[in-house]
Amino acid sequence: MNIPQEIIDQIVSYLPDQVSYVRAALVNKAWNYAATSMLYRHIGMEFMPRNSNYEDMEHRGMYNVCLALAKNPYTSSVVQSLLLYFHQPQTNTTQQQEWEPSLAQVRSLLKEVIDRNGLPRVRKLSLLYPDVQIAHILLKGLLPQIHSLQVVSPVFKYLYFESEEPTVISNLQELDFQFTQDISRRGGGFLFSSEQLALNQEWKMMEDKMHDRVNGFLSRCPSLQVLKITGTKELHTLLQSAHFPSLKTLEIGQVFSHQVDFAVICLNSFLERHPTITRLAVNRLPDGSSHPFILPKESALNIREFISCIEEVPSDYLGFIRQFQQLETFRLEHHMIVGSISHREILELLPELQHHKQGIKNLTLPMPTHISGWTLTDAKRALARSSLTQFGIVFARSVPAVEKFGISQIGRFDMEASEWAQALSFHNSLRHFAIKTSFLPTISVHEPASYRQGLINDIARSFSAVPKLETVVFFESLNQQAVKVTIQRLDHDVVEGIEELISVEDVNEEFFDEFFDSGW
Amino acid sequence: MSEIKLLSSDQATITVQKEVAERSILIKNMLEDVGEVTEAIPIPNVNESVLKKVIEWCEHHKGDPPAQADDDSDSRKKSTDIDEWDQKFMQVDQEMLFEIILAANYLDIKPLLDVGCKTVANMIKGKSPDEIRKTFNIQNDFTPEEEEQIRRENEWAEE
Repeated sequence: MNIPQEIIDQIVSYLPDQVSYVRAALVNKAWNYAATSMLYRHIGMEFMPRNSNYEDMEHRGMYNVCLALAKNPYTSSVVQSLLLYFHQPQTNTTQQQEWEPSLAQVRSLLKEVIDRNGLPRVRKLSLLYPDVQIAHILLKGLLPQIHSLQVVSPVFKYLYFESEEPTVISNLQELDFQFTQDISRRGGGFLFSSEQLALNQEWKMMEDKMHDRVNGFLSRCPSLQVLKITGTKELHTLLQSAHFPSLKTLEIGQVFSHQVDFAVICLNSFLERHPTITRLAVNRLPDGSSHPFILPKESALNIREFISCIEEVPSDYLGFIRQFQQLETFRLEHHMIVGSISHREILELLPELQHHKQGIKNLTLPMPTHISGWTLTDAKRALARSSLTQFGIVFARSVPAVEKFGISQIGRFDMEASEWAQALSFHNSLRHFAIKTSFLPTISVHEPASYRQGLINDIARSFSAVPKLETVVFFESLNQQAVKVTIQRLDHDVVEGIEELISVEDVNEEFFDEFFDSGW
Repeated sequence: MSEIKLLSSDQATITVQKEVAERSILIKNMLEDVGEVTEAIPIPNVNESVLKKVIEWCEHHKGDPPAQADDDSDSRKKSTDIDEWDQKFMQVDQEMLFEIILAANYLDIKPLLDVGCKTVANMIKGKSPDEIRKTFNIQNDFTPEEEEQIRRENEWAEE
């Protein structure tokens, strides 16, 4: 039978993994065409020479992929996204020297591909701790065409963001710069020795150059819609003059704490210049700043999504939250150092989230201490129960429009499904609920499937007390999966649960946020 | 409920509810273009037995919500799950399976095409290239050298 190419393409697209593509690529030419397209569509490669003390040095992944891209024009022509991850050599020069020949090979192969314009469909480039020369080769060749660029590097000062022709980079829509710490930055002399001072002076000059270069690059990206910056202590220098007319998302990851004042002032002014922003995510800000983080009026009206990661609740946090006027999504992650956010803090926060008619639809909160039981002795379980009920009442009263609610961080007490269901039963809009608690006991493999189904039905029955609730997602510790139960409200008050196992990634995507460090 | 007639490649006329036939985007667009039709609509690429099978699927799925607009083919969530009725429906001999896929492609019935392709993909999972060729009676058009080159080229993906 003669199967048209488009149908072979579609069949192959449903194959589950790389190994299946590799096998399909060997069936015949038509299947090879389809399978190669899938296999090389999203390339992730890793540079870590193995057995570096031996002659048969291998280059895990990167060399072989680059060889395929260089030698077969079809493979390189189908690549849409490219991620290169370089393991960092130890800071002894011997290892760097040992790795150099392999790096040189990879450089020359990539240069061959770029020189013949061999990656015409690449739209997304991720460079994680890149070799500087390889970064240059790829940036030079691909900057004009890519839509998304991610760079994670301790040595931004050595990177040039130049395309072949240093003009406006009009296609770039998403930029993620992560400045990581440069471990090679060490003097070795006394703090105020002349050598150390000279070294510091040199570093300062390098940093200034880097800022100029990064700022110069930013000023040539007028189409940017998403900007993510993390790890720099010089946020104010980077953002002070940049302007992106269509910016929708701003994510500021961790910036060094002693610069918080600068960062807050700079963010204020950046937001003022960017009223188009609808999603704002900040890590630790506004925390410990002597300058109140005041939202410009337009931002307060336009920001629909606020993602916040904190270590402890800053004193001015509620005042800050109160400024948002149109939030649809509020997600809070609490880096757990000791315990979690306190029960009282959550009860104070919830009423601040509702300052307009529509109200918040998507809400994510960490589990407060009393409910999680982390701050209670076993004898105080009753207190956890009453705290949960109290939370339920404030939740229903303060954020009545919430449809999707995720609660992160595992509790020590693991309150039961019926207890959570009872607490949430006052809420009249909630449709989807996710919690990192296992509502199922450990089930022996000898139990019949009907036993598990009975337990799922019990959970669905409990949660059917929440008037509009359609699904509840919880954690199943046994296999690190999540269980999604769809509540079926049948005739004559019969309730059944339909169970589906879903991945933790899916839960994160729906209820939490990629900006969170830990997710669910 | 209005009905229309379809004429298969082997000249069989099949009467079908308009709503059912309109699961086929080809037929739907055709009806929108020409308005009322009394004549049987010729479906020159599909014979009677396959057309009946396709109509059976369309009848079962006539109330389905419209397919999501252009679901991303890259989506991580791309699932090979097939619902129970469709699984049974697809339990046909291999020739019929591919005839259904080709008909769904021609008639532009994307959900049926998806189910067909998923069924074939599920049959392929875990099979060696040679087993795939044998299963679907596919001719190997590679020279041994070409085969070896592809094997070497894609070695990285099996690490």
